[in-house]
Amino acid sequence: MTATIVEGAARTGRTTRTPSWLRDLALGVRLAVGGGRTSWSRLVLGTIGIGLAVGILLVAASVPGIISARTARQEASVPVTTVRAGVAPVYELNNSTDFDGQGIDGYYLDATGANSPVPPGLARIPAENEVVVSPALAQLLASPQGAAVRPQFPERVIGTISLPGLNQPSELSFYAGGGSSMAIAQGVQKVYGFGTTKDASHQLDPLLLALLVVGVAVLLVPIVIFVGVSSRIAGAQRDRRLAALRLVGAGSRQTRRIAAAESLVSAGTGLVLGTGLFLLAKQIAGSVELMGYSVFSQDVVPSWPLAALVLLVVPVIAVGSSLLALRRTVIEPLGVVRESRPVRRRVWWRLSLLVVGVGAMLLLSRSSSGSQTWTYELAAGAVALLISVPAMLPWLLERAVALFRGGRPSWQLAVRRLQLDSGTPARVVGGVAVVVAGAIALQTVMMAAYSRYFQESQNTVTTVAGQQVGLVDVTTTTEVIDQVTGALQGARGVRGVFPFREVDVQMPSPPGGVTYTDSSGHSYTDTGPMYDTLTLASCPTLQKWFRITDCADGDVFNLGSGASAAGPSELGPGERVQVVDWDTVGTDDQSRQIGSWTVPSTIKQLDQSGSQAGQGGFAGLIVTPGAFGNAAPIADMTPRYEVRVANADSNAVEYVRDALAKFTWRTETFPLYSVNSMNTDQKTLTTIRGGLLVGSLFTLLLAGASLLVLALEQIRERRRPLAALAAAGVPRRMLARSLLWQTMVPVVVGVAVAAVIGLALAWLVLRQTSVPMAIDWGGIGVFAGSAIVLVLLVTGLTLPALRGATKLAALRNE
Amino acid sequence: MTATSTPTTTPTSQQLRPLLAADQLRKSFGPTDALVGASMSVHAGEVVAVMGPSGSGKSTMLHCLAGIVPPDGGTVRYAGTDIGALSDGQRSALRRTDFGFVFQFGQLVPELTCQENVSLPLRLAGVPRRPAETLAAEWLARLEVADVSGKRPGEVSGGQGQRVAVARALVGGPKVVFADEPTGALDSLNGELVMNLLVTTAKETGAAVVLVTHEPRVAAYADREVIVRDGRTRELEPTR
Repeated sequence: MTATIVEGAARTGRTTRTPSWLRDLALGVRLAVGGGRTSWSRLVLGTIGIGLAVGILLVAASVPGIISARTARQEASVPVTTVRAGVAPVYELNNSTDFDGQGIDGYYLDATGANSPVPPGLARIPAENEVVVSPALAQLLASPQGAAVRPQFPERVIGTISLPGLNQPSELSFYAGGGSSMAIAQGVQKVYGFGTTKDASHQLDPLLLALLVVGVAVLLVPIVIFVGVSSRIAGAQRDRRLAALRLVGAGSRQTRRIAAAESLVSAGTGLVLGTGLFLLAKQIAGSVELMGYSVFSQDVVPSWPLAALVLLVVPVIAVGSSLLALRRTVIEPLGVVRESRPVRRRVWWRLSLLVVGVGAMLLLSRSSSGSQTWTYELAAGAVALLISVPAMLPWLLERAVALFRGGRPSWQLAVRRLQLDSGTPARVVGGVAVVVAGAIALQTVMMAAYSRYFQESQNTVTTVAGQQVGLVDVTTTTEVIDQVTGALQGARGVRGVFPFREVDVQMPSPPGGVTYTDSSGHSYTDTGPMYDTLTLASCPTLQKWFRITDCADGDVFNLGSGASAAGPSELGPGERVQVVDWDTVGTDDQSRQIGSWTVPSTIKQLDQSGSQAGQGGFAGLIVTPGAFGNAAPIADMTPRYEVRVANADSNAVEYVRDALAKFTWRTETFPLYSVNSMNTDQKTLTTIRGGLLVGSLFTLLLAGASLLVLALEQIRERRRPLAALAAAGVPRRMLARSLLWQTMVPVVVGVAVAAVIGLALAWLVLRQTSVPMAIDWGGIGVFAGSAIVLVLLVTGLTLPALRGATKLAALRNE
Repeated sequence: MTATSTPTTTPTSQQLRPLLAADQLRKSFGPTDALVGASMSVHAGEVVAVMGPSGSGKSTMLHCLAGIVPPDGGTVRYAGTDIGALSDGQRSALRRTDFGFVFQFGQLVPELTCQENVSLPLRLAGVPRRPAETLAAEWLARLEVADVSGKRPGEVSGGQGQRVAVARALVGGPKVVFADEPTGALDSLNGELVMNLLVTTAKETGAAVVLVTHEPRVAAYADREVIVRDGRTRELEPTR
């Protein structure tokens, strides 16, 4: 027989030396790109799906590089305070501020010699009245919205901080010249160099991290499904084509190679598109801020092993998905053996995904929130749960439609069709269902997050005499205290200025030390000195602040429980303490005694509720000047102010800063309210919500596109039966209704599954964060409604195709 | 005319061993018996019509003869070799090099042009593209459809499509052409044109033709007829 085959091959002419597998691949490529409109639409959809997946995965593969580049720069900027022989130190004083909820990281510098170290990103140390700003701060200062912050930089801007001195493009930071008087400032440190190893990682709030992980899973899963679906577009046509190839002598392996080559084409074009999308994302990375983070384009470099993995795995998934679609299809020369009822679907592996998802989420409680293990478990659990939606759907739909009987002709036609093959619509609807499940989960978690972040922020709203005010904490130095007081009183929007001074006191530990127990349950004993804080304030200040009448110079007050963030002072009557000042220049945390003081025998309790303003910056024992006497030089005690500002004006704190700008490093201003501006976590939450909503909409549209392709495909494949029905007098409207049911039934089942899984996922996430769950039925209705609208829209878009298919001409064979 | 269960031979070919012989074929699809001990033979260069009413098993007979469908029982021998003993790959190679097929419709690859469709069996057999397409062009011209060589099957008429299919069936120089209702979807004029070309060119190349049809007018092109009824075969006297 072999001889016959060889003879036969020889009869056909000379044979090529090209390996047969290569010829098969070439034929597959030819079929993929040269098959007219259907082939092109299949190619385009496959390319988009794979391109998106590759683009997103390449960005993800760049994250380690981004983190490592950022960490390297952060480490290079860490000041070294250990004395280095022969190096003239630079005095450095941190004076950070913020604008519209975003921190402005500022340092005042003063070089003590020609070889004083220069921070990374600076060409030289700015002289007094000079400032070097980050590019983002320069942009802000030049913009209209920066008008409020511009007066705070009276110095001459001599340049911008270059890349080595920046963490991210959106960073607001500056280095200003402090002048020689800065050497005596509190908090100033002598720096002998820059660059050390420091853990600069910032851990995101576990709730936000959970939102992010679930969000990424929600966005990625439909894309993977889309890749799978797009490789199955025009599946029946492909099967017929492969059968025709079998008829003319292609072997079964050969046909699979040809099918794989067809998928490889879209995988290849998808890789090109994905790489293009990644390069585009890299280009615009510097101008995009997400979750308070932005990255430099230069840092967006994928880790090569990961990039290679992406470029290898994505085509494998595409080809594998295509070949998987053939697993139940026996391509024979006469056609495809698939006409019989499909094999009953097995439920065990579908349920196992659900079990794995729930199990992983339940295990979360054993890991510490926000840790790497926790994140992996959360991601695995969320992805498994979300994947269980499209996995369960074909099985559930099969069971559901098996129950349907009778009904109107349009319903009967649809149900019978679904009973014959519910797998394909279930797979496509799976894409929509994943988005809905994810969106419901995110919406529910988001509601809880909002209630946490925005309720917490309400605590900072203060009402005094029926008027909402904000509190601003100002710290200054003794030498400019009078000017600062005057400037504050004259500042726009200021409703009251409450001056006080603050100093720390030291006392010996009790015999045997003090034993502490940390959050992990570990106990340790501290035998070193103990510290507390004294607040020196005059009776007029206390009377106005706390609304008390019983105050005489010489009184000492202790804030009641809950009045101070640190709790009431533990200093007792008659206790003798050392008054200390912190000397941080050149050393770490070394205190020096500047006096001693004995607590009077009477300590009055102060109820802060009368103040309606909380404790503000008041801490520890509150001592009137008469009670403190000359226990320590008053000039060595830090002057502070509580400033009430018009809370309705979002720029109030900026007016205060503007008024104090001329004092440069000598003042530090910190708002204690956040009503009109959001803090970083709130901003992050808002950014995540915005990003996820856009992403959900995008993926819903992607799923809609899959649905549309499927519906059009079904019409095209059933052109003759539809035309025959129309010819037999079946109204076109009825056929349209039948198509609507065919899409609607899977979507309704899908949305029901999605709602259950989505709520379960939200509950599992929220139980980790101790935030109570509140179901947003309105939100669920919106997402479910969106899915239904999508179905109606898709059905509407298929009507022209249906009209074409039901023309009697469609019955003609020639 | 009597029912037979042994390979049949014509008086003119008694001395020749049949090129293709089916012996006691049995084939069922679920509870339905399609073939029940059917036998027939085909000699080199002859045209045999397999006739019978709808559902009689004539197409199944053809599919078993071509090695497309494995029979449940019995043997099919081609050039002395039991096709049933061949692997899937060997049967595919056989279809590629020794057999040609013309079906009612659906056998052309819609994505490829007519010329590419005709050259496909050659390409699958390892013939380089240029000579394969040259040969395909010759065959298209021979079957009077050279003008559609650059068109896709969906863009040509049914008659033209069938002639392209005939060209593809014959391009590789097959020893047997299997034609299943080749004119079933054509009008009588196109049907006759296709049959004339099929039989003439097959005779010219020395290929045998197994022609499944239920139309006596089409069967008239055959050297002899085999009737299939209820899964059994019987042979009629030579028709010409």
